[in-house]
Amino acid sequence: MPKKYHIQTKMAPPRFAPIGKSTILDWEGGCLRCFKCVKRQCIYDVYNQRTFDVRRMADTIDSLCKNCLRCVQSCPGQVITKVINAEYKRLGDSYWTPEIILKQWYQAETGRIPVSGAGYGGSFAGPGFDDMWTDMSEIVRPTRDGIHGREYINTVVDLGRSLPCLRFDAAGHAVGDAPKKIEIPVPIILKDLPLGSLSEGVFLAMAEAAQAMDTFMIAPVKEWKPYLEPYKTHLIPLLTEAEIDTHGELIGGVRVIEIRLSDVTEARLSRIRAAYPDVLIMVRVRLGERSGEEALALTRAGADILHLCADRNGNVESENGSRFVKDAVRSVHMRLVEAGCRNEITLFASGGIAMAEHVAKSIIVGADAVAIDIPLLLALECRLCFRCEAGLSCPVEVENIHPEWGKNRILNLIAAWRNQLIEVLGAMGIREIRRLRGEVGRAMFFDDLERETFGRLFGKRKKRESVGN
Amino acid sequence: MNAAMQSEPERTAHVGRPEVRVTPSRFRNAIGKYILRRSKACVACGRCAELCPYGVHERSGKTMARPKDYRCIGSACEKNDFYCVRQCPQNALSLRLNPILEVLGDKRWTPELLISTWYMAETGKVPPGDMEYKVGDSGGGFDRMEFCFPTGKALDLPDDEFDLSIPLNKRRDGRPDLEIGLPVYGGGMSYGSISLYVMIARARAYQAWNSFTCTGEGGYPEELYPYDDHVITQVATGLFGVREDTIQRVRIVEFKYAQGAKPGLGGHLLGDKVTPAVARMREAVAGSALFSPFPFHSVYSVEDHKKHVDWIKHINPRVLVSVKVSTPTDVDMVAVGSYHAGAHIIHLDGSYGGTGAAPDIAKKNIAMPIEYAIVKVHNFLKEEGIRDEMTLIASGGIRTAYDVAKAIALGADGVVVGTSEMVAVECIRCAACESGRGCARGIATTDPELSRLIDEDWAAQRLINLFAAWRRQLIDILKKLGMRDIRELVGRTDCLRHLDYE
Amino acid sequence: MPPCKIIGFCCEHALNKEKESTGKDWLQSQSTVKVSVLPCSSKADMLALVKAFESGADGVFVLGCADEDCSMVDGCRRAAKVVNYTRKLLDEIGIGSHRLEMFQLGTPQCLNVEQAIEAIGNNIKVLETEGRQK
Repeated sequence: MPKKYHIQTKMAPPRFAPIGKSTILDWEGGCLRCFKCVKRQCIYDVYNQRTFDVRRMADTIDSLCKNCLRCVQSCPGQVITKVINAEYKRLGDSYWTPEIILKQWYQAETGRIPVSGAGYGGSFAGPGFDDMWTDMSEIVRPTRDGIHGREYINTVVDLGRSLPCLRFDAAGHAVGDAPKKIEIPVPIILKDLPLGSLSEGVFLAMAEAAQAMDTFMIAPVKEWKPYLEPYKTHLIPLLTEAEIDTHGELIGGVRVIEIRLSDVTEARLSRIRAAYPDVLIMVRVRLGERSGEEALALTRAGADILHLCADRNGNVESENGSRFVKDAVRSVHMRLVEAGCRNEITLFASGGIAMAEHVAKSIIVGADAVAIDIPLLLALECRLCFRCEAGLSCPVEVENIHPEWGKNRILNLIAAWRNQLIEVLGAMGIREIRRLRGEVGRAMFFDDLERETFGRLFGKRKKRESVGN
Repeated sequence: MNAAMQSEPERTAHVGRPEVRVTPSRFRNAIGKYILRRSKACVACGRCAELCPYGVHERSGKTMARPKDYRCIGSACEKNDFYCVRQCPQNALSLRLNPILEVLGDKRWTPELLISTWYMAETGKVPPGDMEYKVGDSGGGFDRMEFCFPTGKALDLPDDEFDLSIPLNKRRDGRPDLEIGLPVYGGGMSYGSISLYVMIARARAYQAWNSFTCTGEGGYPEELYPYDDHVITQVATGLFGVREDTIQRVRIVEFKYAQGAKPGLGGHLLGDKVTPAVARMREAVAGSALFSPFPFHSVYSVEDHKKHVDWIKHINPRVLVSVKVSTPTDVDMVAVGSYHAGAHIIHLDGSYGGTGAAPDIAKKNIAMPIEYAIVKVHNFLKEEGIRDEMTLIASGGIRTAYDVAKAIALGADGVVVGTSEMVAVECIRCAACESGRGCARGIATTDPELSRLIDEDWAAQRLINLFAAWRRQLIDILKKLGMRDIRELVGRTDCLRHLDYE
Repeated sequence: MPPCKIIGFCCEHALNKEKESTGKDWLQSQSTVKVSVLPCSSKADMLALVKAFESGADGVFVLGCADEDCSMVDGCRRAAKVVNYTRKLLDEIGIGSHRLEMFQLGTPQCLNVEQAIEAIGNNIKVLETEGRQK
């Protein structure tokens, strides 16, 4: 049996005190000096781990506190209280919510999947990825027990083209070469970062992580520095068409290149293919109204991989209003299925992929794999304050990270994500992530369920705005 | 033997209604929606104590005691003549919303739902004032549904004229015709995931209400023997603590195929949670981790499933069999399969149900919410012509009496609850059931010191009170709908309105 | 006259409220005042206030929320007590109590942060002209 793929994880504590959801406040004034102080009874021993945060003139136990409220409810002097942390409220934005950010921090620190007690406490359903559920198998179909290692669930995906059919000559021998293919063991590649206080350390951390996981990192040529040379086999240079001619030396030694779409035609693609026959060509397609047709044209023109990009919150803007990346990817996938050529090409999706579940859901709607960016920054402790975009300093000094630490955090995050993928795949009874692609039969959609159940009972649903929030 | 069992009268006839006794919080500082402060200007004239009908103000010796503001109805009181803040001659009282609400609860269990459940468990009454005790804030499902009460049909009858009992055996297969006094029984919570004291308290409360509690997959502690007639033995995939004896001493056995919070996933009890007591109960070795696999490794089809059911029925000829499943797309098929395998109860556990520990990705994403599953299964069983022979039980996100009624109106016969019980015994939903020594509030733990934070009499009374308050609300709903029996409500979706539909 | 140095201890809930009401982040946009952001105004204890003067501040202000708005229920009342006590001390040691003020955002005395800074600036001006006259 081949060796099982495994991402090595190791605890990687944050460099700055993390921001907790709520703040504990206590006062000296009013303290009754009880013989048995409630703080000493804390079952998580939080109060003994107090240090003083000079910057905020407060104690740094907020991220350790588990919100049991026992001290608050038991203190006879009522001098302890707990309130929402104002800093927590300011984290991220409406898409990258504080909850998502904290969860990714936890995974990047521990490499473990988030587990908690009590039922789910969020919205019934919501916009974006939150309007679908994944399925599970029960009694009438077998599940797979992947996470405890009894069965092996494969997360390998292939990059590159497949032949629509084999052709044989008169003598019965297959004609032509099979197209080149590359396997990556996780359906995730690291995308160039759209923001952040970036430095050599950050790029090295990403490149080392990509190499360690045997996947790829996309690097725009302007950020391509000599220190990245050793990782070349796991880098995908991102070039404009013009840069292909000027950066020939850079392409030597890489396995995949990515080109920004600027009216890429068959003729141009075949010219690039002729110049670099051993390299897979990935084309970055900005998702929009016409991306289905563009994807079809590019597939026919011979591109190996299409990278379908939405903006960082997963929005796809067009003259007919905005759509979410999930729906846009679905329509590209379906266009290629209708044209009978979906199997010939590899599709990557990116933009708005914030959690492990989004990877599974992107694949269900038709992508082969995803490219992630902001979660990588979160792994590096980014708080998504967007100060860097205004040219201000980074509160957690992302630029000063040690590459080893950064690599460790990225590996932890992706290891945790992969384990979560295995959880959902196991529940669905699927042993191959390649089989999940486009498998909407293994998902349930809010609109369908509403129509099939409540629609029969209550009539017509009002406009979509009222869903979740 | 079978015949003898049949002729034995079942102990399901009307039992006396359990007594409600006020059972306050274990904690000194109970949390309420409002904060009422008394300033130094107070001269202890006692006017407020005379005025307040909710027991917020009390005299303590020569001064006034600190206000019990968790009982205060807050700004809803302004219109009353007895509004203490306005009536105080010294202007010593001030009222405001409690800012702790911001850190309490979540969208499904809003702070107000938590506080109102605590209130019901303390007093057995429906919360007064402007407290939202009916729905949460999840923006869908039960939270966007409400009853439409017809005008002029309301019944003006005493509470005892209303029947909330439901049958659990509708198959007429010669097995006992069990009935439970409320359309509610307790979900499986294993010894190990909750403390023995909480287990006993649940059994007592359900005995008082003539209903059932469930052992969960952790064995059958001896301390539950006195409550045998009100305990369900759960047979789950790890088969922990399942013995001939534990099958034979009960009236219902539940097969747990999946749990709504983690459908399709197995369980994993960490080694250090396997204390000698837990190990004894589960017939395992102390200190070694226990896996509960998914699925039953002996069941890969409905035929295999029938074999399981037959096995239990053979070992205990008077037992009813319940099948607890999660809610995949084809949950309706699974339900029909269970019927053909001979089950009496099909128990659907929706995806937003509770757990002691589950991956967040599973809790949120895998399988569908219970609201859809009830409708699907109810309709499918009806189309197959077998709805009248199956008892359909729903769980996984039933938080309030209104959820119970809505689930029944959507097509369930009754419900199973879990989290509401935990909240009644002062769970705060911190979601840290599994960390460290277990639950800081002494509920979900086997730590000897922590579990002693709960007294079983106290907890049992809180649960009895909660169900008393629920009963009151359910009867109130029936009254307004002009029905006298909860069974009339099953599948009456015409009594419901969905706020997102035109 | 060189511009006076002002140090502010601000409750971050108050700053959040300011941001919500004015729509802009005062903290990011200003550079005149040195600000310590605190989880609650009551966390500005006497020592911190005195140390601020020690470090050369001409004026110090504590910014909290209105009493009925305080996220800690009692935080602002506690802060006000500390400030009042410290002011007495400042008078005793001759620094002058007017150099320290507590403001509660959302009360008529302080509708926004700018107003607080202006008020404390005025206090200092008054003190300094008085000093020169002496």
